[in-house]
Amino acid sequence: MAFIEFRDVRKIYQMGEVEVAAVDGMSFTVEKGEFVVVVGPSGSGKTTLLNMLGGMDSCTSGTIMLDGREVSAFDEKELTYYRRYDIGFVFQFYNLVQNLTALENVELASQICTDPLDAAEVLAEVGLSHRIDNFPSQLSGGEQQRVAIARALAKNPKVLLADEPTGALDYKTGKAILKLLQDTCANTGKTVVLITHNSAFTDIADRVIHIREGKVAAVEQNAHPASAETIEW
Amino acid sequence: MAGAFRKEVVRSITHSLGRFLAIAIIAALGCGFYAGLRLTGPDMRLAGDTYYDATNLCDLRVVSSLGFTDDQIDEISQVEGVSGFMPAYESDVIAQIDGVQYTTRIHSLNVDKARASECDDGLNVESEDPNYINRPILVEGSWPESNDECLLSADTVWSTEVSVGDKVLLAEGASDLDDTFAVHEYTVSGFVRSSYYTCSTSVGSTSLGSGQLATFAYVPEGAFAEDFPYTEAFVTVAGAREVQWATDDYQLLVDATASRINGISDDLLASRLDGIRADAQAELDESRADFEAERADALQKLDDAQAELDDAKAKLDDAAAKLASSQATLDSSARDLASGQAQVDSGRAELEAQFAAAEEQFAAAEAQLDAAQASYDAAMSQRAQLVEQLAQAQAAGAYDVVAQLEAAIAQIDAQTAGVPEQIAQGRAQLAEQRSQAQASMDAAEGELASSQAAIDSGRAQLESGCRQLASGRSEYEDGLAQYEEGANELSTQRADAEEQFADAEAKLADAQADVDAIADTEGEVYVLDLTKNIGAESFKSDAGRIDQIAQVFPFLFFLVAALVSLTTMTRMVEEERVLIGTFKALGYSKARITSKYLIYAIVASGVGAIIGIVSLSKFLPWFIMGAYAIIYAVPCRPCPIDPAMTAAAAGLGVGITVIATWFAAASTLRERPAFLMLPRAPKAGKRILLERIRPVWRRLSFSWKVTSRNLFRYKRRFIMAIVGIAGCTALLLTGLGLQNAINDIIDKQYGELYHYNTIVRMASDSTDDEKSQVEQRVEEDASGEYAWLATANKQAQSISDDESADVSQHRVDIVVPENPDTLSDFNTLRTREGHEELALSDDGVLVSEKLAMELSLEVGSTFSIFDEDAVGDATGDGREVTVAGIMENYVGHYVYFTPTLYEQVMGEEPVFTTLYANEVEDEGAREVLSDELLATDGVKTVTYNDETIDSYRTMLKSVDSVVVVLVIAAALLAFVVLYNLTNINITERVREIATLKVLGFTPREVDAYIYRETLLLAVIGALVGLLLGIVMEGFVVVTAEVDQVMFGRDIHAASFIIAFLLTMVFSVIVTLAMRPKLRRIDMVESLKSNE
Repeated sequence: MAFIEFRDVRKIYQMGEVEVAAVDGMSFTVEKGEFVVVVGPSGSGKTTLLNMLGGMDSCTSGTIMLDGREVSAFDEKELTYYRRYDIGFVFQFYNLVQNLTALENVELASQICTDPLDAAEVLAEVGLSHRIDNFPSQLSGGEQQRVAIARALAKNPKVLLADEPTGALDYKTGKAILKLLQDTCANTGKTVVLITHNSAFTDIADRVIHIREGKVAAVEQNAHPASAETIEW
Repeated sequence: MAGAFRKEVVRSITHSLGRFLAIAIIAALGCGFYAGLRLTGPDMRLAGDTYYDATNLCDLRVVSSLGFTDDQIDEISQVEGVSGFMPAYESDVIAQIDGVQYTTRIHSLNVDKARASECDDGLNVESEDPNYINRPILVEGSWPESNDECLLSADTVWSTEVSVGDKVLLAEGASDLDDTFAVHEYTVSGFVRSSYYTCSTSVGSTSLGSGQLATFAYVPEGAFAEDFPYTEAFVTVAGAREVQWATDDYQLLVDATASRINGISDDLLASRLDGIRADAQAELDESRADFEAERADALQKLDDAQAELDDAKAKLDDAAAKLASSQATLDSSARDLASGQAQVDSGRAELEAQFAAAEEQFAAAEAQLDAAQASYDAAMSQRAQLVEQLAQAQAAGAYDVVAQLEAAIAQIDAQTAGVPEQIAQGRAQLAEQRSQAQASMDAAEGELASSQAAIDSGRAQLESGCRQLASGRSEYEDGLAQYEEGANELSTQRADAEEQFADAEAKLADAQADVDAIADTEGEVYVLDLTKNIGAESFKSDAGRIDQIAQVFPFLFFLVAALVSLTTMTRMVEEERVLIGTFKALGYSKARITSKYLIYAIVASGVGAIIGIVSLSKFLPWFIMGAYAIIYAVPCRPCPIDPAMTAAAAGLGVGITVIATWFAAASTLRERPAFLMLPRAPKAGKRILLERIRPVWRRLSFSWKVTSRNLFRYKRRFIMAIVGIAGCTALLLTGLGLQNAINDIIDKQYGELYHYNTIVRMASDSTDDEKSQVEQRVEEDASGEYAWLATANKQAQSISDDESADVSQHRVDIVVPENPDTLSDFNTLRTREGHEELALSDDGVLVSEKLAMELSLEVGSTFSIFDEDAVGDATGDGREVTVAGIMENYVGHYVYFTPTLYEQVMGEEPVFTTLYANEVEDEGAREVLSDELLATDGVKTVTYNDETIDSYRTMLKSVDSVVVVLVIAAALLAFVVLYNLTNINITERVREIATLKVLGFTPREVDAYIYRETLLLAVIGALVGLLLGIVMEGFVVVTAEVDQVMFGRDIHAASFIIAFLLTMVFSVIVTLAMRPKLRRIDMVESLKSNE
């Protein structure tokens, strides 16, 4: 059984009189430990997909399964715990708490989990052991994103979801972040789902899901994904 | 203004109603409270003025210690500025109603004028007579029909239910009841409200009972004694009606007339004295005439008596002369008689001698005859024997013998023949001789006897003459004695009469001297304006207190309003950063862009201000006057909207908001458009002081860490929240503290300090006997503990070295316990702070704390005590006393002396005629006790503390409504501030919150994360507020305190807790109300770019 499975998932928004299907019958599967890139243009429904997979939103119809559990049937409370224990989220704009240091930002997430990783260690893993006591405003964008990744990882989630993690970063830093995510996937065996509009990223994925107009356009698997350092965009 | 821009402005309002409302509400609160509180004082004065005008309250009261007659009233009415005048009687009495005693001031009422007046609205008493002054408003019942009906106060809190038809008995008067009143028992015909007594709880002071008047009453003028003079004249001042009472203009106008009346006070006194003197002289002349007539009469009577006596004397003398002549006559006849007797006696002696000589001769002749007889008889007897012997011898036959015998017989016969005849002849001769002698003797004897008889009758006559004389003499003696007695009596009478005349003369002379002295009588005319009317004056000073409070409270609201506007508008400007950049980029000028925010602020605060001002400047004065209505019987509550105040308040409110807005917008507008288009760099996190304390910091959870850091990160918000919440708590604490302070007056005074519940006051001349009767009666009930004290009302004055300095003067109760050692059983004497026991000593007096405060006294300092005159001013020489201790006391000003010290200072012995006792609480038993005690001679009043407590409790209910206002204001303040704070917190941190949600924080954890800050601020604010509240409460308490009362100085622990908890409750309500907003935050926000 697949680790993640979308079966004919729909998400319909009521916009006044009009019903808009942001996700319109999406089906795909992801295996455990894969580095997955979801790619599609703006408005294709990839953010909606992310929201539903991340437990931030529920689907109108269809089934979402994760590690054998039916996420699509979760109520608010279960969704909250799902986000809490199963999902690690990396935001485009890092979303660090400005008033907490790097370490504290990581601990913010780990303190609510049952089986967290050591915050300092995780920060060391992402290469920030020397900035552990700095506030976000004292860190560069890349560093902030590393903190955000550390925060996601420290929860020891089942899935790491990253939404345009390089979107606010310069090219070089973006690459470093991609590398970090790829390494994390490889080193920790965590399933990583990266959402982007940038098709250049498809090369580094184990599995690429192409999204177009609310539907899965294509799913391809790379037997030998490239290293993040090698790709260019 | 361009249409689009204007639309944008309009929409910015409609699309952010919460923000708009926050500004509007705080502006409404700030401006409304400002205007409302500021207007309350003036509105109260306006209410007073309206009421006083409506009832034609006097502007001046002219009182003379000598009283007035129509002459003086005329004089007063002539004074320039006097537009109306009304002479009146008044007198203080202790009246008994339903068995309860009330010290009552009785006023005269012109019943005709009262009946002619009309009052339809319970306020305006219409009368055509401008000289009908102090018009009472009939609230219930009817005007008196006859002189034995009276009207009682409608606003007095009676100890029992008093209703129309009840009896009012005058038990005791300040002056002699009979001299003052023609009627001593009245029937209640109705109840009135009088503007002359604005304050129902403080009616005035008196010389009776406890010294405080409990109520007042009106009786018809005819109920006063016929020759009782007017005690006062009420005067209205021309033009004063048109000027508002209690303003400077009013006072100037009244003062001018008052000083003119004062100017004629000597005339008034002189004319009154002339009148009194003329009356007295006439009376004296009359009594002198009476006296003269009486004296003449008495003298006449004495003279008559004398004449009578003289007459009697003459008669007596006459009688004496007659007696003397009778005596002489008697004496001479006695002498005649004596000589007659002597003749008779000598004649008798001669006669007897002759008779004796004749007797002798007769006796000798007799003897011869007798001898012849005897020898004859012997011869016969011998013959008889011889005859017998012859018979025997013849019988015997012896004839010899017979012959012999015959012979012898014959011889005898022979011998005796003729003898008897001779004897008989001799005897006859003798008898003849004897009878001749006897006859002559008898004749002589007869002569003698008739002389003797003449003498005897003369003697008898003499004797009766003597007797007559003796009785005449004794009669005379009696007469003389009577006469002497009469003479004595008369002279005593005369002496007595003389003495009486002298006495009467002396008295008349004294009386004349008195009459002459009337001219020098020290009279005093007092011209008293309304500042001397305790009701009007305390109403005025309460209005003044509100003025003072109004200076402080609105400041708090304005401060909060400024902070709320500042934070809100700052947030708005920040939110619209990009928009501002866009406008700038489009070429709008800085001023133009700023104008949007200014317009927003002006509209928001303006709308709020207008609504707040209009509603609160109506509501607050109305409400506060309503609260005061329990104390002040002012039947109107005008609360006009004052344009100037509205403009000022609105100007202030809007101005503050505009300044805050300009301040908020200015910094952002200075930035270049390019920067504005970029998201503003988030405010950098900063380390805070707390972090340096590692052990503490390490223990904090992240939420706490972020909360702590946030608190100090946004200083404006921090200050706004702290000030706002502190203000809220402070208001609550002020309200509750005020309640404590006021309830403590009773709870502490009557619960902790006083341990007696009954006061019996006796006349100062009560005898020991009367006192012991009272003691006995008191001992019968309950605990039976009692203590005697001397009490008096005096005036205490501060002593100042600086002569120009104002001396502070207060009416005090002097208390001198007979036994200072046991006083503590009835009255705890202690310091307020530390509750240290204070003992009475001869070194100095104990003074109550409020008095010490008012006179700036401390232990060791000195002040003076004066006697008080008729209108309660100090009189005579001050007597200096030293303060030995300052004691806790809440009601009244007290000075406690030991008897020794009292005597030393006052120069007179204290008279212990006041009794403190602990008696039964049962009302029925009390009534019996009262009745029995009052029936005892010397007992003047019996009062129970419970009655006092009840009337205080009623009075203090007004505070509850003030507390309600404060609580509501506090709640509003808390809501606005907390709502604003939370709102900003949430909107500013939407991303953070969304992120937390995405991270898997449960709603509860998210709430905690956000609200921890709000609640922590609430806690800090509340703690600050408690401190602020102590200060504010202190200010309000000291400001609101009235002269004779000290409010409790402690805020109870419970009040701190309640104020704190209520603040927390308000905070929790706000957080609960804001929770949906927090819940609604979409996690998708976390994905959006930073604005």
